[in-house]
Amino acid sequence: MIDFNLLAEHREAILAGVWMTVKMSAGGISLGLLLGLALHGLRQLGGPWLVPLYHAYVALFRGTPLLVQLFLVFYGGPYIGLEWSAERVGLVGLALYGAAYFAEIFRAGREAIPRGQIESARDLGLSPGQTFRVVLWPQMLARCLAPLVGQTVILVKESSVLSIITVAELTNVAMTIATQSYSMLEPYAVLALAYWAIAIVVAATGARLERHFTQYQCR
Amino acid sequence: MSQPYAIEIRNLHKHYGAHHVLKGIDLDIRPGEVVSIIGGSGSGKSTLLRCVNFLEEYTGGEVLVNGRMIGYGSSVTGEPYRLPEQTIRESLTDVCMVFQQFNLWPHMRVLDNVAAPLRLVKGVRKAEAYERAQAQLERVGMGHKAASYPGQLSGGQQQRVAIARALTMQPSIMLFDEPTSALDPELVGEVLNVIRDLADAGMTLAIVTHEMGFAARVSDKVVFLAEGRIEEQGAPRDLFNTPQSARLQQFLTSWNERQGSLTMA
Repeated sequence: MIDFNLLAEHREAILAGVWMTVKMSAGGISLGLLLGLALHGLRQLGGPWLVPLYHAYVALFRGTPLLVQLFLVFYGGPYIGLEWSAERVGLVGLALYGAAYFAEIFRAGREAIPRGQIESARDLGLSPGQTFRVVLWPQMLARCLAPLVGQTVILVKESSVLSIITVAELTNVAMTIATQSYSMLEPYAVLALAYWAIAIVVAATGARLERHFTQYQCR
Repeated sequence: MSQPYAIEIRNLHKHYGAHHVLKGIDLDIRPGEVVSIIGGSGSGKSTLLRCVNFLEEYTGGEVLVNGRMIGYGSSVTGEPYRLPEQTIRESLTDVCMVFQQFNLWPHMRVLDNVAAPLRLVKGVRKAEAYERAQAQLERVGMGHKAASYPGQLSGGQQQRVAIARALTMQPSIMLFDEPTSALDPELVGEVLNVIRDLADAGMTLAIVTHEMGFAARVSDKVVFLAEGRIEEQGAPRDLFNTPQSARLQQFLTSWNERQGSLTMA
C-alpha cells in the first residue's frame, strides 16, 4: 500500500532535492545557452580553425554520454589536479553538454533564414553586428524556441544523472530514501511526478514565449 | 576635370573556382543615366550587378562608384588588397540594390523595415526616421500598409516597400536585380511604374531585367550580355530594332516568339 507517512517524514529532504535539481538545471542550462550561443558565434566567424573546432566540440559532447563526461571530470579530474565539488562538476558538465545541442539548434535556426535578408542588410549599410541583432536574432529566437524548450526539458531530466556523482539532487534523495526505508514505490513515484511538474512549467513558459516571438508569422 | 562617372567598370572578371563568369566587362554609367542589362540566364548579368555593390567579390579588374574604388585598395607596390568591411560599406552608401526576392525582414512591420536602416546606419532619431520612412512609403503608394507585416502583402507591394526602404537611404544610384521576375504578371506593372518615376526623377539606375518593352521605353542605354561578355550595347532603339550580333538577334527572336505565342493563345 502507498505509505504517505514516508513522504511526510522526508519532506524536507525531498524539497531540498527539488531545489537542488532546479538550481543545477537552471544554472547548467543558462550557462549552456550562453556557451551554445558563443559557440554558434565562433562558428559564424568562420576560418580554418574555428569551424573544425566547433564541429569537434559538438562531436565530442554529443558523442559521449553525460554520465561518462561527469565520471571523467569528477573521478578522473583529481589525477590531473582538478578537484572540483560534485555540484560544480555537475553544473559545468550540464552546461558543456547542453551547449553542444544548443549551438546546433542556433545553427539550424540561422541557416533557415534566407541569405537575401543578410544581403539586403549589408547593402543598406548595416554592420554584421547590427545585422545579427536586428535581422537574424529575433527570427532565430522565433524559430529556435520550440527545439530549445524541448532540449531544456531533456536536460532537466538528464540532470538526474548528477545523482551518480553524489550531487544531492532529487533523484539522489529519492534513492537514499528508497534504500533506507526499503520502499521502492513512493519515493520513485514522487520523483517521476516532480520531474513531470518541472517539465510542464518549462513547456508552458516556452509556449508563451513562442507566441510572443512569432507574432509576425500570423497571417 | 570632367564629371566622374556614377559607375565605372574596367575589365571586370569574376571566377567561381574554375568557373569564369565575367570575362572582362567594360561599362560606364553617367550620373542620371538609366541602363538596362539584358541577356539569357547564366550570362552573368546578375553577377555583374552584384559586383558593383560588392555582394560578389570580383576577381579581376576594377569597379568605381562616384570615382571611388569598390572593395579593393592598392598597396604601394600596386598590389590590390581587400579593404576592411567598414570601408567598403562606407564607399557604398550612395548605392542601394533592389532584389528579385525583395528581401524584406519578415519579423518587422513595413514601417520598421524602412526606418530601421536610417536609425542604425545614419543614426536618425526614431520620430524623424519614422517620418521619413512614411514619406517614402507614400511615394511608392504604400503609405497605407505601414503597420502590416511583409507576409501580409502581395509580391508587388513587398517590392515597392523594398524600393521605399532603399530610397530612404538617399542613394544616388539604384541597382535593380530582376525586380519583377518573382512577381505574378498582373503585379509587374505597379513596380515598373515606380521604377519609371525614379528614372524620370533623374536617378542613376542600372536594371537587370527580362522586361524588354520596359527596357526599351525607360533606358538611355541597353547592354546585352552573353557568356560573361558584353556582346552589344547602345541606345534601345538601335539595339532592339537593328541588332548587329547573331546572338542578340537570336535572343530577341526567341523573346518575340514567346510574346507571339501569348497573343495567339
